[in-house]
Amino acid sequence: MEDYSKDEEIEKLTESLKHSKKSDFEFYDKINPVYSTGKGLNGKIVEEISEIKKEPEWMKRMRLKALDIFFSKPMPTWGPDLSEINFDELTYYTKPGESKAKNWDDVPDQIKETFNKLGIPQMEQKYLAGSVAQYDSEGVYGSLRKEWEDKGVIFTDLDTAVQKYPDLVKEYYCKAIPPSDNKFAALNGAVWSGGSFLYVPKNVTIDMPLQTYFRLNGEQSGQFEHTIVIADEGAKVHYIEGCLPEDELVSQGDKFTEIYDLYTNDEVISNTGNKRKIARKYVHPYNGYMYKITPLSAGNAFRATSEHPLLSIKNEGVASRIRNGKYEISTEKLMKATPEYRRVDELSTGDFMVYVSPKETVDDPSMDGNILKILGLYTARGSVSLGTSQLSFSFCNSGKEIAYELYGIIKALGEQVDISRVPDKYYTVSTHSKKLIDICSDNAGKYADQKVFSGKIMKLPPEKQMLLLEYYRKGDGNIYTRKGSSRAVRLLTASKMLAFQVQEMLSRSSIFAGITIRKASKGHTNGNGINSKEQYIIEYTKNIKFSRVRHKDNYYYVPIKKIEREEYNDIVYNLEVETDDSYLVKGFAVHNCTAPKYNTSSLHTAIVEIYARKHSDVKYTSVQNWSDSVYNLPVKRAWVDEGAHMDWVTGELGSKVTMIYPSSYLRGRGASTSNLQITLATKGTFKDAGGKAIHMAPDTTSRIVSKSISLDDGLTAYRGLVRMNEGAKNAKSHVQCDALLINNDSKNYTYPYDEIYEPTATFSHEATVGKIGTEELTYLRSRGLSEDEASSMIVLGFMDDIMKEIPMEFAVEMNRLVKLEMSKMGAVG
Amino acid sequence: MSETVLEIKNLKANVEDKEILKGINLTVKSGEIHALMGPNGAGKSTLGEVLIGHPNYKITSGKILINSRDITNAAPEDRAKLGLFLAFQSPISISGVKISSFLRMAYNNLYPEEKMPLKDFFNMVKAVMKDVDMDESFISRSINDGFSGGERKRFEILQMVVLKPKIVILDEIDSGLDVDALKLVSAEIKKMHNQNVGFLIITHYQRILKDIKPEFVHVLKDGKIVMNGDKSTSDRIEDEGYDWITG
Repeated sequence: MEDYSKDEEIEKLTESLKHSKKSDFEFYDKINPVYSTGKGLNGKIVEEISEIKKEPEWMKRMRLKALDIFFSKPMPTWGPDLSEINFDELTYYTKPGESKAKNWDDVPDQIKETFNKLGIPQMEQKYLAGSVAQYDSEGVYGSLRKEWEDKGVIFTDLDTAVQKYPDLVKEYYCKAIPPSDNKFAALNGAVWSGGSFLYVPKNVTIDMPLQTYFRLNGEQSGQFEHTIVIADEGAKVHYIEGCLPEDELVSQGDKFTEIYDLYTNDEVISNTGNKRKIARKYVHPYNGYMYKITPLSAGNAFRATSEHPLLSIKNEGVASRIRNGKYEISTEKLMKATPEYRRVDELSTGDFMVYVSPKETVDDPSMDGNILKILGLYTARGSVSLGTSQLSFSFCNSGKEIAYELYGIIKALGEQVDISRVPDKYYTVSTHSKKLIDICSDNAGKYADQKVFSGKIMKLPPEKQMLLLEYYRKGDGNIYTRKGSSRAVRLLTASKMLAFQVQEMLSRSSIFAGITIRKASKGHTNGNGINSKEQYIIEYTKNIKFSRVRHKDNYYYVPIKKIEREEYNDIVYNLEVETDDSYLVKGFAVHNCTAPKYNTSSLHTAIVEIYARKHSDVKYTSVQNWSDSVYNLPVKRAWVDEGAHMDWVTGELGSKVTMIYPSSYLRGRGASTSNLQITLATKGTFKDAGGKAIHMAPDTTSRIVSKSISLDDGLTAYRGLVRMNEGAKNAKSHVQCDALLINNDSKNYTYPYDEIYEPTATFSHEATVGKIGTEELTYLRSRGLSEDEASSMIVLGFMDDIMKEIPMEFAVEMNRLVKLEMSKMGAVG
Repeated sequence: MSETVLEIKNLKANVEDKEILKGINLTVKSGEIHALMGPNGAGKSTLGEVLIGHPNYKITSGKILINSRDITNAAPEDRAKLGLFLAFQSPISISGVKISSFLRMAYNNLYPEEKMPLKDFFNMVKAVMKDVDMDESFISRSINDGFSGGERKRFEILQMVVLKPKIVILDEIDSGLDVDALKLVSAEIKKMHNQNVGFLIITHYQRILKDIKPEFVHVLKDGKIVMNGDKSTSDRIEDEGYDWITG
């Protein structure tokens, strides 16, 4: 993959998001909580929270103990000013609905609406698999994929885990971050609610998106989730999304567009057959298996990554009996089955995919019978010569009848027309009518391999489309009798788009047409060295029962003929689609992307405890872009055992005050950690961030990279601790913190704490502070970049080495934010 | 047909409160090569930077016109859009800003109508890189980051060719270039000269003038042009220095 194509893609995506308002992430809505503990904090409220949650005694006692610690600890004064936080004015617990929803239908409408506003994909119950959406202080929705259960993975909200897995929770809860650690850890210990609990057993790898959606409601309510991740020995927890390669064709209803060329606000057809807007486009570099799925109609074969979910029906469920080791499909069972989203790598030959026909119909009275007949024949036989302004149709000798019919139609329209004939060879019908030339080239394209129907044609009522196709067939196709004596129609075209369009049109009239591709050949049959172009053959029978495809409403269940896979290393794409969370690839329904989201709150005091046991591998990525009234004071800590690896990736873009120092306790030989961080401090904000690495064993390594950007009077601080305990032989650590100050008022402080008690340990620290200089700006501007563009480019350049390591959608978000901030600022200096 | 591409009329400019340019008059037509010579501290580089609109300088009187458009107070990017290009004497390095995205953005800004596809654009850039003997890998590097003096100069020439300006100012382009590199650079300048681009070559020595023959030679001394001559002027400067010219 060329580096620059990735950069270009980030640029384009950023551009496409330019008009997306930041307010998408910042809004309030009115939901009256079913229950609230009211404002303020005391022992009674803590007991009440515990009782509502029907917690075991031990948890209640831990809460009360934490509360005592919270009261006994003074407010920290060594960092940003926190004196404005009034603990008496906050509400510590609210409960939004009756009880936790088991499936999506049970989720209250107003909450669904909130999720919609946030752009959180409202997925079907099955696919929400393992994703715990949290509303206010309560997990309102949660479910777990069966396959994970089979592997012994537990992913649920912590409240449920306390009830269902008390021993496991007890073993880990508050071990890495005890309430005595600091005032906010104590606060969380007393009033925590919600948060995720993830347990991955020994040697299990998770490669499904693990996300939790958080959302706060009400201006003064706090969010106190508590997350525990336990990766048992050899387990791997990764974050991967399903995607498609750049050239896959996505159905837009009237046309098919390569996924590469689609952007936010473009419309695509969803699995319901309706037009839906693209909320976001996602791009990732991908290195892994790419699957090619070939359905019964081989021309519709497409590619997707192994975890991409396809709407499908498993063969087993709809087979009535087994004969000679083969399934016999029961039409009755197939009609009753409900298609579900399944990962590509869960599908096999014989399973059914779902071809969806679009619903939108718009009649156009100007497209009357005669025009449609002319257009049909034009698609088959016509051409426009722009030089001589002539529209002509040529028919072979056997097309005499249809040639004269066409001649009659045009004449009847009152347009000029000629017919000429070369005896025993062909007939030519031609006209200079400007009106007909325009209608034909506007609605069916100009050249044979670029023939394509207009949006107008694609939306016509099915009867009209069938009339057009009838004349297309008369001009070009043939009818033949297939084995089994069904009469089939065969059409031939050099235009790929036209083939998919004809297939889509037919689907609106209860016909499923198969497409096969005849590869381009170097004229072996022609003998003259003439190359024949790639040809698309569309075949169908009017009576669907002769086909192996089944039809239900606007769905066609099409069996998979072949699944192949190959190694792939390039950029892949995905879309997030409003309302239906799906789109169509060459007509077939696939699930869309599930994306990370950001939330708002006034005080966010979360705890994330991670236990990376021996030789496990955990990556925890978080990016927040909260409104600038939020105090964000999370505590994040990982215990990293022998040979295990912990990756922290943190993007701190929003909030008024942030204090975040993800810490890794390297407890076993060879444990390692990497901590990458970008912080952005805009006007009036203070971002105090950094990391801790505690080396407690030999051969442990740590790397902390912090990049901070201060705009306007924004203040960033790096605060980090590297401690090498005595006995941590040959431990290594490298800390790099770079600050960029955009304006004269911008500030940065650096507080590195190094405590090295082990003589064989090595430690290095680099720190730089830079400004955007006039010389750099002038250089870029002298080449044609505007001041905004030049300064954004310098800021993004500053973050470049860390941008490479964060998921691309975060990179796009960062890119967008930096540009937005730079354009808001006006002159630099 | 040659047209006037650059016209400088009685230009005076200050840095802070010190007057550096004290009334410059100079006209360059398309397809012409002008050399601007003069001793150190005469204000040669200042003139180049004033012409591109460097904010460190304040124009106190006079006018600058590109293709008859008054750009005396225009922003640097607007001057670039009218076809002005300066190859800097000491190009600055900008870490993290990749040459690929920079060139692409610059080109798209200068030629918004063209909408050249990504692959075509970079194939074009790579072809020019070959001409100026820069390895393709430079395309993914940051602007001048870790470049040698010669590499920086070749990158300036690369930009000149890619961005297709109408009037080019070269500030000491020959410094830092070895003999072979100088030949490549001269060849590119000649190609552009054949395409009717106007050149103003700022040079202290006349090494570059051995390959590129200017039709006009101007001598700048203490912020003023004190002599307008032809190739023979630069030859005499080569032999005798600047002392014989009196301002």
